[in-house]
Amino acid sequence: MISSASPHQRTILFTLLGGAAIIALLWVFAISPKRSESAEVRDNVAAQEQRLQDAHTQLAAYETARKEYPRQLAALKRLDKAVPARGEISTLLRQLQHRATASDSVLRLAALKPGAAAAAPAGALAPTAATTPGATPGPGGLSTLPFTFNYTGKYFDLVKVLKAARKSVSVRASHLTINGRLVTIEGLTFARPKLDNSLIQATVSGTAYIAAAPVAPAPAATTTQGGS
Amino acid sequence: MRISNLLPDGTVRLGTRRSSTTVALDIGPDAIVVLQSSGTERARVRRAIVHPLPVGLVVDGEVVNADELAVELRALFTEHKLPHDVRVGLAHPRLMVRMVELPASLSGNDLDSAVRHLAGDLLPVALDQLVVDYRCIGKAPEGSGPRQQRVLMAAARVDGIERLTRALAGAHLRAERIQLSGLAMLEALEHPPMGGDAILYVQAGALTNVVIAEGGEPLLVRAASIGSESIAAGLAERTGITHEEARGHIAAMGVSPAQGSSDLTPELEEAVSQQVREGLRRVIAEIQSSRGFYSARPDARPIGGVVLTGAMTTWPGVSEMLRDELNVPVLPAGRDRWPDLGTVSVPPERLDVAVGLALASDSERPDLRPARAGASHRQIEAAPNARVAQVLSGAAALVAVAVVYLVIVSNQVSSGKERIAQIGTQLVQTEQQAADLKPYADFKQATIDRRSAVTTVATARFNWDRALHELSQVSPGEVWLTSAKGTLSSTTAVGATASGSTLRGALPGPALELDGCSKVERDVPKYMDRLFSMSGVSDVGFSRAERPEKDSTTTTASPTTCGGTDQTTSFSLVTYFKQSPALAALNAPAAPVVTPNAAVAAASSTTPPAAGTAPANQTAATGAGAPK
Repeated sequence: MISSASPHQRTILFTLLGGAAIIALLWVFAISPKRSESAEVRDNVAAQEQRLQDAHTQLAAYETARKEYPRQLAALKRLDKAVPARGEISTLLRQLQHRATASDSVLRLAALKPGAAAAAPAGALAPTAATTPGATPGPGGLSTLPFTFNYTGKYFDLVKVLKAARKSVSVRASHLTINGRLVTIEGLTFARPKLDNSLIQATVSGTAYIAAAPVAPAPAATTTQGGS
Repeated sequence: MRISNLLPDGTVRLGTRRSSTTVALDIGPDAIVVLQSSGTERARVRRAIVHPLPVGLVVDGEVVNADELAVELRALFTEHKLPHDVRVGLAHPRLMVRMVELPASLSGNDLDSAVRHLAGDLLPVALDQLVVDYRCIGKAPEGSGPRQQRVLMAAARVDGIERLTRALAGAHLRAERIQLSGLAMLEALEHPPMGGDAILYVQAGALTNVVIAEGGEPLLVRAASIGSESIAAGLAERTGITHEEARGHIAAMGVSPAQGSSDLTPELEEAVSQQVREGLRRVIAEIQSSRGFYSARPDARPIGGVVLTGAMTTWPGVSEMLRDELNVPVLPAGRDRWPDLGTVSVPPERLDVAVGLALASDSERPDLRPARAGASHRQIEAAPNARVAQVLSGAAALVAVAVVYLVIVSNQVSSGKERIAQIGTQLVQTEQQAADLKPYADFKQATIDRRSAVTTVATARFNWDRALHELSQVSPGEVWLTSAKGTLSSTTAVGATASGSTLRGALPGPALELDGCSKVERDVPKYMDRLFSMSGVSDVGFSRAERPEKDSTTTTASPTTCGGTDQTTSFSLVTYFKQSPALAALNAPAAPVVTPNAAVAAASSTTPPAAGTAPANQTAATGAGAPK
């Protein structure tokens, strides 16, 4: 067939074959690898762009946190009133007695006993204030400090003391009001030792909570601690 | 007249210039003559067809009714299945053909421009209304001035050419070239050596083509409107017969019909003879005029002979009359290169133009196609290896496209890598900034967590003060408590003592274990009922109610403890409160759930039946309420 073709036809045929061969070689050894590399680079670019976008989103959130830092610091100071960094149970009891206006009654700290705190729920943060003697890990990253105090006084003054302990930190319609230490009353027992006397003797077991202050950011590293 | 197969067996060598099928079209006022040839090395005539035309489509060689002519062409080509690439012969009196002399130094575009401007000078028509082409036919004889070259220039009006091309296009035909019919005739006939004299070629057909050539090179080409068609028209007008009848009569009778060989009346015979003689005289006048025009050239040579051809030369007496009137030796028309036409009745004089068109080379000029088509065609013809060049260009273009694509992909890769590096830099900066600001986020989160934890604990707390307050409100007047113990769960220890009652473990939530006295035993159930009115109470468990027996010494709650009389009854109750889920979460793990009644049963099993539960009618209400 080729032998019967004219020189021009043979030239055309060889030109076409040569062109096809060159294109095939280009495709196999140059274009195809480059296409694979291009696809890989495209994927990498997409992944990096996603990473960058995530980083920008995170940075924006951090910027918001920085702008909110003064507000958060004030909130933490309020929380520090309820959950200080140190125990100071005796001071707590005096405050309760004073707040309850139970002037004729006597509150005396009977014991600080570790290990009686409520169990920490799952996912709770690690305790940050376990350095106080008697403190154990508690719920939500708080450390619990169980205590027991003895009470001698009128029945309704005890009620006032318990109410004052509850009202120190109260929640109403998701609004947290803090007037003093956060205290949980675990149990109580009381009795009237003498039938002819209206005074009762009570023993109250409670739990106070303490927590270490969060680490303040470097630019505002002065202090984040309120008075405890 | 139609010749379906002029050359039935005819493998005829027409030349070696063509490598594909060629269809030559000689479109005259009376008929279309088609000649189809093919072959690579040896040209073969496949078909020759004469297709008569109605009167009025082509007048004096010019297309007048392009649409009707297109219909005729379409019908002709469809019927015979002819190829649509055609060569067309052109001849009419308004076609200007001049032999001019221009400086021999001119060539290429300069020569093109010179010829076009010369045509514009010779014809009172704007250049853009002309189709001009030319052929260089050699050097002019040397004179005193600079060396000159002879150029045969042809020019036609665009409108006439466009009517022709429109007719072709209407029949779906493509014009490979449009050549002068006179030159095609010259191409078809041989040129005997005349010892330096010129030869006069006369084609007397529907029109009269006159060519004067020196050594085969045309120096004068003219087309006159006088011819068989004008003679037939004159006869039809004179005698009142139809044009087609007139065509037949003049072709049959010519100048001197044989006596008795015609069925025509003597008057009609006389009219035919007279009309043909008048027509021939006008033809001769045109020929003489052309001779005179040629002879006016300073370098003109004497006319050594005349070659007569065309349909009219087949008429009786026409050749003799032309020979006598022209007074020039008549030379035989050399058609030795032609194929053997065999028994075909149509004289070969009718095929001179068509055969000449077929024999012409691919680069034959002048070509009077419209400028755009002609230029592109000439461009293709200019390069013998044009197709090879086209293929090479195509292949190179494909390779170039592949290379360009490779470059584009490479650029994409490079730009992608640059983008990755750029993103990496931005990422490092952003992450550094984020790391700097992360303590703020941690601080915020810690504050939120702290608040959440405080809120959770505060919400989950049991309201002991309310419970004790309500406890003081519900006791009947003759019932008083001696001791009470409240715990959040059964496992809660208050001070150093754990829960002393098994009944306490019946329910996991907060509970008050109450020990008290009643002056009247029936007040104990009443007290239990009132305990239910306290907020959040879910159940009240009854542990024991005892009234001291007179002879007994083993009571667990003596009247002395209650401080009453013998009717005083001591009791132990457990008041259970509902446990909120939050409190349950704080107190987890919860104690096993046991119903109070089951617990009572368990407690009863540990309490002496006789001393465990006193009948209700044996109790007495003697005590007071809660401690005051």
